[in-house]
Amino acid sequence: MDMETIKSFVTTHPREICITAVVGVALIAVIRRRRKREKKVYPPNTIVHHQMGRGPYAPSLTPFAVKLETYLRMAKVPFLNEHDSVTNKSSKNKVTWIECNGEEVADSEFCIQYVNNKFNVDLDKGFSDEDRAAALAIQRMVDEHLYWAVALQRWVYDPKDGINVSKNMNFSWTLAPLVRRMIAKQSYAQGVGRHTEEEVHHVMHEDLKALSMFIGNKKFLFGDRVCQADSSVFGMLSQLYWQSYGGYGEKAIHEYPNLCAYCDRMKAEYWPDWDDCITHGWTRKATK
Amino acid sequence: MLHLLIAGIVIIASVLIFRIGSFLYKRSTSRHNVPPGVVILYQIGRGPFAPSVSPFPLKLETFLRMTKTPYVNDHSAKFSSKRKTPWIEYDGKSIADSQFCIDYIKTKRGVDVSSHLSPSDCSVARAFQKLTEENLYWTMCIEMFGEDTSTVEKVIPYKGLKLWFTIWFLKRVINKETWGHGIGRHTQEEVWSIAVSDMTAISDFLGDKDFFMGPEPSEVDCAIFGMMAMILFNMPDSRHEKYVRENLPNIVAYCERMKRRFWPDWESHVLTSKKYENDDGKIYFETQGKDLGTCIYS
Repeated sequence: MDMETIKSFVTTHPREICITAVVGVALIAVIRRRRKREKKVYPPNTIVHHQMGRGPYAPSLTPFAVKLETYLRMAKVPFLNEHDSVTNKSSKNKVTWIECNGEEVADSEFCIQYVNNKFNVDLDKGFSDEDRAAALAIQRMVDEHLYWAVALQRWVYDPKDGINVSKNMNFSWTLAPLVRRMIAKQSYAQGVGRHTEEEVHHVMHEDLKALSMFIGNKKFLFGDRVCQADSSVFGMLSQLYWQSYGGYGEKAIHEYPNLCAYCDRMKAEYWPDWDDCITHGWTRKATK
Repeated sequence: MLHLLIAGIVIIASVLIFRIGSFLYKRSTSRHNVPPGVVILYQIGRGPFAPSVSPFPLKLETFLRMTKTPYVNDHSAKFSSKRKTPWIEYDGKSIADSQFCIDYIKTKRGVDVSSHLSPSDCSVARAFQKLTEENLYWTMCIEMFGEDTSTVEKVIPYKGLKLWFTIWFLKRVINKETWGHGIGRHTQEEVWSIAVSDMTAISDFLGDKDFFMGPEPSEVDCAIFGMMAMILFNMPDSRHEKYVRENLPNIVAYCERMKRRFWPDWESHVLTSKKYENDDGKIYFETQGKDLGTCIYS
């Protein structure tokens, strides 16, 4: 079958091709929906952490999956990972979610609250009300503000500086522009995306400076013992420290050596199997 | 007949478009002529129950008062380059975003009302500002512009078609913004649980202190006061207002304290008050110089 034959077929049968294409797409959608409905059976009272799959140099490409899994390890609750959330998304269309005994919860903060209630966990037990409040504020700053600077840097500004996001993330090259548009639109709606690149850098530094000044010489946010908010901070900083691929985010965090040391400490404490949870630059499959 | 009808529709449509367009992109042809070193604060006009219907102008204006920065208000509702309001002009330079405005004034005038705080305290202050402005704020928008807009109708100082259009427009903007932010994907009850956590954290951290970080006010008080005043005065009968008044009395007391300290003339800036005065163009904190503007503090 040569090009000429194919060309002539296409030009003489446009209607048949359109119908086939539509039927094909519909079939794929139906098959995918049916596959989703066949739910797997998991062990009871075990948190099933649905996530996107391991990252090249950190356990996930998204800070919220690193946050949630770090928290599950901190809380020492029974859990297992399912790296299927790209096709098996949550009800809120988010890629980090959990299920337990058939019950689904999306959004990392709600997942943590669910686990706290179900397994009677309180990592902030013994902290004063003031400290617990400050910890919540730090979590909000990191997840609701610093996140946008990190996302904009990775998807919108780094590519302009020649960093190949698709290759680094192992995404198809067709996907990167779509994600870039989505992040630009979302961050514009949120507010941070209306700033110039220099202003976003400034805002990133202000948040990193605040974290650095707060942690100071302490082991974790509030001293020698971790608190719940440490999982958020570590999740976000892991992306800057290990997965900025030489971009501005990496340079930024290195201006705060105590934040780098904090990342190394959290990794040593809660991820002794780190090397099994990353793909080493997509050169091998993560075993865990 | 048909031609007359078409002509009529075209005329009505043009008038509507013109009025909507000029309402959205209102341009003030006259600019306030201010001496150098005086900030022009662009904000939408005063509110019916508080000096602003939005927390960010109130935060910014409270900061100007806290630092005794000479300033003048322009209530003509011009929008900034980032399509945000409030914004400022300072010696000919325009700055958008309330926090960037504050940072600019701090640099230009060498003022720092948080210099008495430790580095760790400064960090916590920033974190709470983000909790308030990047999280709690959105729960308030969702509450005001959700299914029941009766609260917001009491607060927006317009009537009839202008009120309806403003609410319709803001509702669309907020739905889009909260979806992009992420919080708009939660259920109403989930959003409410986030709001309760945030308001409780603010109250727990404030405790029995006079101001948010201690006995003396600091920069973060402007942001916290701006948002809490929004809840207490601009969200009448809302869940947020009821929750704060019934469960977090220290926040209510804190707002009264901030009002007494920085807004002794509060009533003059509230549309429904008998003492209301339009202060568009009035200079506050004019320093000793040629023009003796009104100075409300010695």
